[in-house]
Amino acid sequence: MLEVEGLHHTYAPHRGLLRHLVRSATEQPVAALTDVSLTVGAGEIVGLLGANGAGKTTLIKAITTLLEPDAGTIRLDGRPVRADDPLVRREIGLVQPDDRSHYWRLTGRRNLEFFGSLAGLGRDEAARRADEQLRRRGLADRDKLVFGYSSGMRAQLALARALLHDPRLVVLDEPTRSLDPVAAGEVCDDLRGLADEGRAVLLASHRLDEVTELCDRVVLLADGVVTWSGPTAGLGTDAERLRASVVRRVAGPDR
Amino acid sequence: MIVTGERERLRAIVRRDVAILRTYQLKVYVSFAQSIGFVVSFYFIGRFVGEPDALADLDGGYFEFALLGVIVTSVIALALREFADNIATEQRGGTLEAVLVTPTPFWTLLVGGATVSVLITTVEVLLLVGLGFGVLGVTPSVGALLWSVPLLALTFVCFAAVGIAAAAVIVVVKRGDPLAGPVSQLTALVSGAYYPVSVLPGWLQPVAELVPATHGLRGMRELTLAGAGPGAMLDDLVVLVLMAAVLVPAGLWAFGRAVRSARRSGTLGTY
Repeated sequence: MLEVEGLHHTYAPHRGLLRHLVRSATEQPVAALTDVSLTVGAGEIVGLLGANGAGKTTLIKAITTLLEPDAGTIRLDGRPVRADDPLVRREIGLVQPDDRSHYWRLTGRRNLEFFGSLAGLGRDEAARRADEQLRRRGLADRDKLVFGYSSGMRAQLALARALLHDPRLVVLDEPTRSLDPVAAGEVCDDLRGLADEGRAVLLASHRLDEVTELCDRVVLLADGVVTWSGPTAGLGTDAERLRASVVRRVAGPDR
Repeated sequence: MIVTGERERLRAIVRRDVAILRTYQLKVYVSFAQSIGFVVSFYFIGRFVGEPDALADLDGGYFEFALLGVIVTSVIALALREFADNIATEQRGGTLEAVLVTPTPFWTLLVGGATVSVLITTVEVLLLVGLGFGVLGVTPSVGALLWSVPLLALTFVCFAAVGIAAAAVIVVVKRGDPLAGPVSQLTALVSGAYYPVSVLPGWLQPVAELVPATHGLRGMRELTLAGAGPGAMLDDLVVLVLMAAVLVPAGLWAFGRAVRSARRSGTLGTY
């Protein structure tokens, strides 16, 4: 379903006049992704593990068309993933870690209806699916402006938004970061359910337990390079050895 | 059901903006009150100035002359700032990336995002026309007012193109729009919004001809204040069409380039 092949991206500082007008995040070129390849099949959950700055979010941005990589290809069901192809973008659902990604002056329901319409749903269908997602995520009876939501509620709303248009690929960047253990467990169950329905799920997380329990395969990133990928069982089963194994593989050469 | 047209997306953006605006209603009332206050000030300036010789060819006095300047200036201000402001608001609010993940073309976001403001400004213009011409000044014919609409609309489109280019700058540099302010100032200086172009120094008057507002204002004044027929504004209308034909593709091209650049640097959503 999702095939990423030979992805390269370097964050470069601004050049020319722009260099004097806007400060770049970096003064020197930073290789964020180097020859990154991975696949996520239909019905599969692939975990993306890595330390902060390993390149997980850059990779997710590239897969969701928010970033145009320097080189490499991304395909979904054989179709190139490009920003100017609305058909392929329609098949992607993204859960961002930033809970500011909703309109705080709208209710949760209005947020979902709005994003549903942008995703290509008719107004009635967007309203119906918004209602369904709100009930499923325990937000139906708390339909207030989003600025009154807790972090956990906003995380649930982000998941609802990503699933609203029934995408074939669901990409999640730390979806359970703000959730209590019970809600996080429910989300994990939901992700399993999504995969069982035939969707491809790519999950970036810092929670080793979550990734090892939920994911079929794991990709470890360090300094923009895939340091290991394979079935989750390949990481080992003993908790301490597993942790040591992952830490060693995601530490990168400078850590 | 998946709908393929952009109409539902545009409607959704309008519904979003109306819903958000309803949580900030005072902003609209304050804006209307400011515009009315501005027009009333010009009414008293007009009474003080009387009917200057430079405006002898026009029906009415300075107030009617300046009223059209106020209306066109407010439309220009909207056109120049709305697109960049919308992009900046989405960037700062953190919603731009969430919107861009959806299969929504950028032009839909630009047009849809400006729609509610355009509607509000239209109401404001109607209010000012009613107050200014109907209550305080000379009343032009309905035909003259209707013929003025395409001139005003084309003036808006020309400046909207500059506004879209300004939004392109904001996509890349995030803050510090270098276009809207200078273009707005140059327009106020040379377009004849508050005084006739004829009072400008001779070397500056040709510059006025390069500014779309000069043509919009001249045509509208011919129609509403000089009592001329639609034929009198044809030249200005053609010039505005030509300017729009150059400026709109240029603005969209700049915006496309900026989005591509931000996509390559991964900074679409940062501010």
